[in-house]
Amino acid sequence: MRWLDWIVLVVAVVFIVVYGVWKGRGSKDLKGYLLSDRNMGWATIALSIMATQASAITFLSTPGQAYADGMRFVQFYFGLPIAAVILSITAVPLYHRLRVYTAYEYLEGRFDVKTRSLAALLFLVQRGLAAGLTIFAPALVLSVILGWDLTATNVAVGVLVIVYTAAGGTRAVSWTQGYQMVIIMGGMFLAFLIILWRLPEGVGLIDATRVAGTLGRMNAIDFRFDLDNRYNIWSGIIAGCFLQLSYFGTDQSQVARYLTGRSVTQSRMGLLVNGLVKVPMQFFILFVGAMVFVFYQFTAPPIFFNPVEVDGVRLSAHAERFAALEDDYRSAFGERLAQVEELVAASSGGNPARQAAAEAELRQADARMAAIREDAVAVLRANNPGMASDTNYVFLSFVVGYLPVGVVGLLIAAILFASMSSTASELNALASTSVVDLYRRLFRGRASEAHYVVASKAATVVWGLVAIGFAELFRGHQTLVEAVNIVGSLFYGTILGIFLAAFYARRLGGAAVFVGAVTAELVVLAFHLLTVLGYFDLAYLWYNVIGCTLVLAVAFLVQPFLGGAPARRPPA
Amino acid sequence: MSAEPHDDPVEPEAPEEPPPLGTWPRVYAVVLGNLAFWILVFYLFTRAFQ
Repeated sequence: MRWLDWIVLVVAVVFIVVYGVWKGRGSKDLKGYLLSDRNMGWATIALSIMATQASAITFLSTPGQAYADGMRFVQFYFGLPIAAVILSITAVPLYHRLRVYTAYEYLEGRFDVKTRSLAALLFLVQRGLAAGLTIFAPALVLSVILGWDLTATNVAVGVLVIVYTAAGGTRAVSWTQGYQMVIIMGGMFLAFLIILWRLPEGVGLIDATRVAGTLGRMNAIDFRFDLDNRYNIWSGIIAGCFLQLSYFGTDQSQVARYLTGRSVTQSRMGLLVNGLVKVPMQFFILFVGAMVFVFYQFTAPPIFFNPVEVDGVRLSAHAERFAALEDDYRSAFGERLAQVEELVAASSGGNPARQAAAEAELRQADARMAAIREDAVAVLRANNPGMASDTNYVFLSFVVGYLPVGVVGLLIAAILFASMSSTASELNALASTSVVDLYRRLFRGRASEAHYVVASKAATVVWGLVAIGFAELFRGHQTLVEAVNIVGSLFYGTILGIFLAAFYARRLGGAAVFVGAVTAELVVLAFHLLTVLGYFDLAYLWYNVIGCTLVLAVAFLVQPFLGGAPARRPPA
Repeated sequence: MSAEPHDDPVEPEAPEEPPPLGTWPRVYAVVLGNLAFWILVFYLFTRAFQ
């Protein structure tokens, strides 16, 4: 990074932190600190919801996924609009009417305190882990760019987020997220335009898309039903809907966003606008990644996008073998470049036979490059067996290497903002759940409002430190975006099952739902363990369905034996 | 274990505003129709380029 990038980055970050602290000043009670006095309009809520869900992981890993695997990840989000509609009908008016601070508060009125506490604890575990990943992603970026120690970078990023979140509370979180989203999406759009501008003369958007499609990167829709295929339309709509229902309906980091609405209408519209724009937004981010893939058809890509791993192997006993593979890779790139140029020429020539032949040749040339890269990855892995894939470095590598000065700083700021906005919501929600559902409910119920505000700020700091600790645990875990979703899926199904029982199964009592929830969580964890150990292969999105279904099934099964009161507080 | 204080015990509910298209079912239909539209676009996109 050059000085202009540093100026852009520092000015942007300082502005957001100072603005957040200033905007959140003066909250004297819990309603002000945790719910922003319930005075937000739909636009702020919608931006806040988007910024919470779209973390730095989204902007680092998603383009890399499109580069490596194509557009099919977009199907993961198909369940979101459906979930937004269902929640607008059910959860939003219910939470509003009950004037709750957290989603879990509702469970005590409906069931009992132990079910509320169990749901709150499951949330704290999974969101605490996820917050670690949210901090880790940009720390990884910065450590690669600046050459900083990763642990030191984790701490620096984490502390920055803690300061601004603890000081400002929910009001600061929501207001800063609006500015952050504008900069994030503006930065991505600028990057997209620069990619197109940097393609060779005569290669337009259609040509670029055709090249990406020929090499398997335009696979946005897959209708085949396959349980171990992570991303197809069925897993996206059915299992994805369960995940999104749980995320937006029961995860306090999202529920808190629309609890700040000044009316049910404002909260609903905030949620529904997100349902309108999320799918095309994710498609666009993936498409940026696919265009980076096309860019590297005309410009020689590194054989591996993580420079730290490459530097490591060059100093090892594998250096000679790796250098030979790099030479082969360069030669294979020259051959592939010739085929790409032939395909572009054939496409514009309007000769279908020539185009088909060029496509076949290009696929073969690409397969040769892929095979050499696979050998290189094996050498890298021999040098460092714990090495992760380079998916997360693809977009960063392009940003640093090929974007103009100043824009690099803007993109780094955008990635940092994405992390800050998600982490801020997470720490805010972890603090509110810790204080409202556990500390105030179980340990100290008669203190002053000022005491609870101080307790919430302290909880934000503590959870921030815990998240920094978790960040260290997740090094080398697949692609980061999947790691977050896997962690979420381990717990979301159970939490969703508890809430569905609360909303719709009025014959179920607290004891039966508690037994169902504990059983479901143990079974989901067992499924994941067996999958990790290789006994069978089950795509993680289905954990949500299994967890949710088991809660209800077991609860109905044991209800006749346990008895218990029916709904004490009727649903909306 | 201690009792939890009530939240906003006397705060009145804000008056509800009407949804943008007059009724909520219309708004929900737009959201779901928008999803169907994008799935169709992505399907055509996949067929055209993949």
